[in-house]
This record gives sequence, C-alpha cells and structure tokens, in this order.
Amino acid sequence: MEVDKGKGEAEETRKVAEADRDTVTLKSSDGKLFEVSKEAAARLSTVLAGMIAGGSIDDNGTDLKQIGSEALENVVDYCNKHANSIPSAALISSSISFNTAPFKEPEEWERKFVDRLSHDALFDLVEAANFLGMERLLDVTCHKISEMMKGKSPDQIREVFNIKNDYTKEELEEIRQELAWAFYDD
Amino acid sequence: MEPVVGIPSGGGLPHDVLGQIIFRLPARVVWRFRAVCRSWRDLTSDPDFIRAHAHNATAAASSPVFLSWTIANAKRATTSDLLLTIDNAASSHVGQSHKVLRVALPGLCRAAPETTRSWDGILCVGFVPFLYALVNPLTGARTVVSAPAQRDDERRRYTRGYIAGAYSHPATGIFHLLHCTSQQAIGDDDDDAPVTTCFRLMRVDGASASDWRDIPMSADADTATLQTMAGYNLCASSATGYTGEELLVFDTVKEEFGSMPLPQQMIAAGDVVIVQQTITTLSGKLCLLRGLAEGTVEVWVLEDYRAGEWLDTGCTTPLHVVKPSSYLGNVGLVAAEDRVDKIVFCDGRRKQVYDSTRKFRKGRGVAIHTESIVIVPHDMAFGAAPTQGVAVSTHPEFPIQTSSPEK
Repeated sequence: MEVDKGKGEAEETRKVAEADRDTVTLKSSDGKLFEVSKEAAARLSTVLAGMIAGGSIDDNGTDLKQIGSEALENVVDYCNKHANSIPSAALISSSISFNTAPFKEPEEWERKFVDRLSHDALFDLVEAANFLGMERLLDVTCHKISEMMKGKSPDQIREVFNIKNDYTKEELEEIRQELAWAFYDD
Repeated sequence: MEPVVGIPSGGGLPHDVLGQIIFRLPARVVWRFRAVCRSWRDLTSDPDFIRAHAHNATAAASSPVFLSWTIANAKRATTSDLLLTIDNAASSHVGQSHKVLRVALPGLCRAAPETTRSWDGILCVGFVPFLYALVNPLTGARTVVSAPAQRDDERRRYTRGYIAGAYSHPATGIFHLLHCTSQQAIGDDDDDAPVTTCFRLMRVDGASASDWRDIPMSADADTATLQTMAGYNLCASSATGYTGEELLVFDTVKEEFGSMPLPQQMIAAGDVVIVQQTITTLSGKLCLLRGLAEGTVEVWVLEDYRAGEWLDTGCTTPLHVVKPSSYLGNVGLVAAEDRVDKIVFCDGRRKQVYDSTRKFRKGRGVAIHTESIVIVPHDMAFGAAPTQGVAVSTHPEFPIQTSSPEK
C-alpha cells in the first residue's frame, strides 16, 4: 500500500495530474504514504470529502499528523474493502432482519476486519475513524469494543481502559449494593 | 449519532467516542459499569443519557427476560417484601445462579398482587383495585401510585380498572401511566348495556404527585392493554375484537388517541379465521402476532410507523390455539437473529411458552420484561428513596396495612 513519493514535479503539472487522478495519497504521523480511492475516501469520510472538495489534498501526501501508520493502513484497507462490497450492502438493506435498527449490524467482512485487530490497533482505529469523520467505521469499531466489554467486570474494565478507581471503599460498597442484578452475565 | 452527554474518561479514547461505546451497551451492562469510576457513573446517571438510551433501538433489541414474583411477609414484620427473580426456565439465561431482588413495600400486604406487566423497563405490579407498585428490577428503584379515584356520580354494576399502558416519555423521560376504567351502569337488566370507558393519564413524577387527567377517547370497552414501542411516540393496542382492522394508537407527545391500519392477511382472506391478535415488540419495533384458526401464528413487524408500513417477517410459527383474550397484550418474543425462537404468553399468573418443537411450559406470577435504566420517577435517586405518591398505609380500602410492631 505504501507508495513512492512523486518528486520534482512542477506545481502546475501536479495540479492537473491531481484533478485527473482517481486516488488520493495520505501521510501518516510517522511519514508513511498510503493511496486510497478518491471516491471511497469522499464517500466514507466527511473530513476527507471536505478536503477533496476544498482542494486541500496534497499529491505528495496529505498530512494526517494525528494518525499513526498502522491505523491509517487499516483505514485505507477498510475503504478499499468497502468499495468492493457495495452490492452486498444494497442486498442487505432490502431484506428483512429482526435486528433492524438505526445501527446496522456489521457485515461479515466488517466483523472479520475488526476481529483480526489487536486491542491497541482497534483503539487506534476507533480514534482515527472519529478524527476522519468515518461514521460507518466508527459504528463498526464502537460495536466491536462494546461487544468486548459486555462480559467484563468493573475491575476488568478498569484494567482494559487503564482507569483509576476513584471511589472510596464505602462508596464502592454502596454502589455494589445498588447494582443488584447487574452482575448477571449477558 | 445519538447525542451523548457527560465526559467519561479512560483508555486514552476521546471522551465522545467512549460515550458512544457505553451508549451501545445493554442496560444491565451500563448499570454494572457505574462501579468503574465516578465519571462513568455520572454519565450513566445523566437524565439525557438515560432518556436517549431508553429510546435506542439497538439497546432495546435485547431479548426479554422473565421475571417471577412473590410476596414475602416476615414474622412480626410491619412491611412486606416483593421478591423478584429472573425466571430461568424460559429465558436464554440458562445456568445462571438464582438471584432474588427484594423490594420493600411500604406496608404489610396480605393479598397477592393481581396484575403484573412491564413497560419500558418498569415492572408494574397492580394491587387491584387501588394501588400500583412500580419497580425497575435492574436498578431497584420503586415507587407506589394510587389508582384514580372512582367516581360515584352514579352507581355501577360493573367496574374494572387497570393500567392500559405505560411509557417513559420520549422527550422528558418521565414515566407515565395510562389507566383505563370500564363501567356498566347498574339497573340495566340487559347484559349488553353500554359500557363506558374512561382513560386517564398520570405523570409519575417524584416532585409533584400529579393527578390523573382524562384523555378523551371513544372506543370499544374491550380495549386491551397497550404496548409501548421504543423510539416511537405511541402506545398501541389491538382494537375492537379479533377481526378488527385498525390499531388503536396513543400519541405520547400529543397525548391523544388515533388509529392506524393493520396489515392485510398474509393468506388470502375468506376461509382463514383469525382467532387472536395481539401486539408486542420485536427488536424495539411494534410487532403483531396473528393467531389463525388453523393453528399458526403470523408475525408482522411495523417497519415504518409514519407510513404505517407493515412487513411480513415470513415467520409463521405453528401454535396450539390459545384462549384469546386472557393473554392479549402479554406476549413476549424470544428472537434469534433471523427467526422467532419462542413466543411466550403471560397473564401474570400463568405462562405458556411455545417454541419450534411445540413444547410448552407453565409457570406462576411471571412477567415478560425488557431491561432498561429508565428511572421512575424521573429525578428520583434509584433505590434510595422508598416511596412517592400516596402512602399505602393511609389508603383505607387497600388490603395493605401498616400495623404497629408486635411486642
């Protein structure tokens, strides 16, 4: 996915070339370059759509300083996979499902896509999706994280999210009493 | 995206992202995570968050649980306890340890509760005919409200009052009760004497015990209980009789009744007789179950409320013919991903579970319940404050009495 930097082109030439290109080049915080379909980027990310429309895409690599290379690779990978799965998405929306909800369940490939990610990669990806305004990817990654959280105890959650327990002993005991049935497994 | 308020912390995730993740969790898990830290508790206590979560169809799609209840009076006790248990027999929660929630009632109860139903996560236990105990089993919050006072402008030979529907208001989140009284005038020899129906609405608000207000509606007296539907501003009820083609709906924002058409029969009408129609919810959507004389049930889902568009789910479940009216409105579905696993009929005392193998079980004192973190009353701390509304012990006609401690 990484591409060579195009160097030495005249500014004028570059602009013409960019208008003709059907991909955009994105640059991660650690300087790696990734190429992604312009159409998919504009459709899936409100931020990238705005940059493309506003002409602030840099052919030498649009700087995304907030996103590391691993997360950006996943973003690009998701965009490419999504572009190839449009027929399946259309099919699903017309069928009847008992789970129909404002949030559509992840499709099989989306599930696999997030399932293979490590914990850290998933958290980085959810941040990247949020930063880039990628609503669907944000949905899918949030869904995955909430699935991970369901069976966990408050202690385990503090560990996973690196949260300090700021309750006093007495407060915690009081809350535990309130929780009553909440410790059932789902 | 649903609006998420409050600023939780943790994991290095942006606060709004973390809020969205918590927002997706089922009510029980959200409630459990109050023990994580203060900021998570603050988020899950925010009325805006609770209101949004209650109307989040994703969260509402969780399978119902089955609650069984009983009343316990300890020796020399001055108050009774309502004991609630998650009924494992019919639910998907097989193999759980037995856990009982003890809800202290404000007085001594010597009579068994008559009616039990669950709306928007709040269990309503009716001590007919005067009082209703409202409990959120998940959070332990409870309150007691009295039924509307009977009007004695003329004597009646027949009076029946019940909670026809209840809901958490879509805008304010405040829990509301819709009460129905049907009366037949005395002195009429004719059994078919006209029955008058009166609907009254009460806002269950800890701050002010608001009175019951009349809601005008001209409908058949046999109007059944109503079913709330998460995310929509209405309660709905199968309308008159079993062949009725209209659904009675109550707009919870405008607080008025209306109607909408029921779906056409799947099978060509004529030789197929509908013996039972009832409504419930499925994945947060209004669902119509239509029992046919041949012993099958059609399952319909209201896909688009504004357009009144019903979708045939393609699910036709074989079913023993159930005695119709006694179960009306008390139906729960246990749905797997693409099919209905079980249909459960409850009338508060008996329960019948139908599954694909046509087995059924019976139980006692069971209500179908979908968990919610909705609070009742709206701004009342859960579990802490015992009662609001009319104190049980001051109600002269109610069988619950507060007696002085024995010596």
